[in-house]
Amino acid sequence: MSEMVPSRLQTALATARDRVGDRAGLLVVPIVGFELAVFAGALVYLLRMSFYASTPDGLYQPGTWTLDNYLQLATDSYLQGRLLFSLRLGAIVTAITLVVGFVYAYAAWRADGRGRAVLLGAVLVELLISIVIKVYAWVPLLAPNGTISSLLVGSGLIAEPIGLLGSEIGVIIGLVYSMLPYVVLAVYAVLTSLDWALVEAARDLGASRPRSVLEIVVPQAVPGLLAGGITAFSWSTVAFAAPSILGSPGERTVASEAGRFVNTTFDWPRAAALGVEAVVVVVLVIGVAVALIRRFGPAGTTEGVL
Amino acid sequence: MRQRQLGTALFRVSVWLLLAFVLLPVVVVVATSVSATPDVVFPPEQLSLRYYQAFFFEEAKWQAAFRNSAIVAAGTAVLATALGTAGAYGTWQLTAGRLRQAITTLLVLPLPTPLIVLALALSVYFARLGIRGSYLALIFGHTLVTVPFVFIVVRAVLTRVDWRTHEAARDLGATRWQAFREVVFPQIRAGVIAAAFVAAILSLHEFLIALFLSDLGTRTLPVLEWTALRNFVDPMVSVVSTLLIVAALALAIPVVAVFGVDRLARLL
Repeated sequence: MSEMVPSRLQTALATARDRVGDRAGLLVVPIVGFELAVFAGALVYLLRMSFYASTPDGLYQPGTWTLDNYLQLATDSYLQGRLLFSLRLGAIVTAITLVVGFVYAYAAWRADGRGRAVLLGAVLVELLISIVIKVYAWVPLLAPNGTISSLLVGSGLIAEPIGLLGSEIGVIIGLVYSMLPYVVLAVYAVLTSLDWALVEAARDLGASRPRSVLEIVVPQAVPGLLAGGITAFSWSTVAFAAPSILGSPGERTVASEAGRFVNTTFDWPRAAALGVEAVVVVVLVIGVAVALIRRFGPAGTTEGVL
Repeated sequence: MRQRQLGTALFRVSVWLLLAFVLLPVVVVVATSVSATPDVVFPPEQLSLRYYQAFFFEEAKWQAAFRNSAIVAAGTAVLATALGTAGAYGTWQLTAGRLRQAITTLLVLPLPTPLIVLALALSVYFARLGIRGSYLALIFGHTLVTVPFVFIVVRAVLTRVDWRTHEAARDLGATRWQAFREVVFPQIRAGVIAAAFVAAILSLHEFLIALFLSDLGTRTLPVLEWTALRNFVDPMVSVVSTLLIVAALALAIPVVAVFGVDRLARLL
C-alpha cells in the first residue's frame, strides 16, 4: 500500500500534466484570474466607491448610492481649475517631448553601432530609474542657488539668479525628462522599419536635409509619435511626483488632489470620483486626437490604436 | 554647402545636449551622494562617504526600507514571472482568434492605465479586503504593473523557439509537459530569467503604487525617499538613489546579455 500511493500519485500527476498539456491554453487561467481579481476588481470597486456618500468623519458610508461626488466635481471651481491646469500641463509636456523625442530617436537611428548603443542605453537606463529619483535629481539643478542658475549668471546671460524650482517651468522640465524615454523608444521602434533609401532618393532629387526629414521621415514615424504621445499625455496629465517636488501649490494636478483626498482628508468617494473623471477626460482627449489624425493625417497610421 | 555643414554641426550639438539632458540628472544624483556637507549642491564642494556609512551602519529606518524593497522585489519577480510566463506560453498555444486577442489585450491593459488611478483603486480595494499595508498588497500591486513586461519579453523569446524540436519530441512519445520542460524551456530559459530581472528592477524603482499601498512598517526605499524629501533636501536620498541605480544596472546586465541594447529598445 505504501508503495502504491506514490505510484498512484505519480500516475495522477502525469495524467494531470498531460491533460493540462493537451489544453496548454489553460495556462492563461492563473494570469487572467489575477487580472480579473486585482485589476478589474480594483477598478470596479473604485467606480463603486465614487457613488458612495462620504461622511464628515472620514472614509465612506457603505451601501449608499449618490451622485453627489460627481455633482461636487462639476460645481467646484477649484477642482475644475485643477483639471484644466492638468490638461494644459499634459499638452505642453507632450508637445515638447514629441519634438525632443523625435530628434533623439532620429539621431539614434542614424548613428553608427556605438553611438546608437550609447543613445539607446542612456534612455533605457533612464526608463528604469524611479520617478522619485528622476524628479529629485532636478532639485539641485533648478534651485535658485543651483547649477543652472549659477551657470547662467556666471556666463553673464542673466544678471540675477533664477529659481526654476517651485515654478511651472520646473515641473515641465521634470515631466519632459520623465516622459522622454517612452517617446524615444516608441519612435525608434517605428524608424527601424523605415527604408533610408527613400530619404536618399528625396535628397538626390534636390530636397534639402530638413525637408527630406520633415516630408518623409516624420509622416512615417506618426504611429510611433502617436503611441509615445498617448503615453506622455495620459501620464503627465495625471502626474503626481513632479508637480509635488518641483512645483508650488499652483502646480497641483488632479492627481495631487486625489492623493490629498485619499491620504490626508480620507474622503475616498471624492478621490474615486476625481480618478474616474480624470480617466474619462484623458481617454476622451486622446480619442479626439486619434480621430483627427485618422481624418487628416497620413493614411494607415492609426492601425491598432483604440 | 557651408549651410549644410552648419546644419549638420547644429544637429550634432543638439544631440550631444540631449544626451547630456538624459544623463546629467543621473550624474547629479551620484555626485551629490558623496558630498561631505548636508546641503545638496552640484558639483559637490567636498567629497566623503559619510552618508554611505550612515546608510549601512546607522540609519535603522533606511535599513528597514531596504529590507522591505528587497522582499517586495523578490516576491514580485517570482509571482510576475510565473504568471507572465505561463500566460505567454498559454496564449501562444491558443489558436489565433477573438479569445486570444481579448486575453492579450486584458494582459497589457494595466500598462496604459495612469498609475495614480491604479494606485487609488488598489488602495481602496485592498483596504476593503483588509490587506492594505501588507507585503502581499505591495507584491500584488507591483505584479500588476510588471507582469505585462514579463508577458511581452517571454512572448518575444517564444518567437525564437524552434518548434520543430517540440514536434519531434512529441512524435517520439514525450508528453506535452515533458516536451515543454525538456525541449522548449531550455530554449526560453535565458529570456524567462531576464524577464524576472526586469520585474525586480521595475519593482525596486516603483513609487506611486508603493506610496498608496504601504504603511510605516512596509514602506519601500522610493517611498521613504519621498517622505524624506517632503521635509528638506537630504543627502541620504542621493545615497539611496545611487544604490538603487547601481542595483538596476547590475540587474540589467543579464537582460542586456540576452537581448542586446537595440532589441531591448524595440521590445520595451
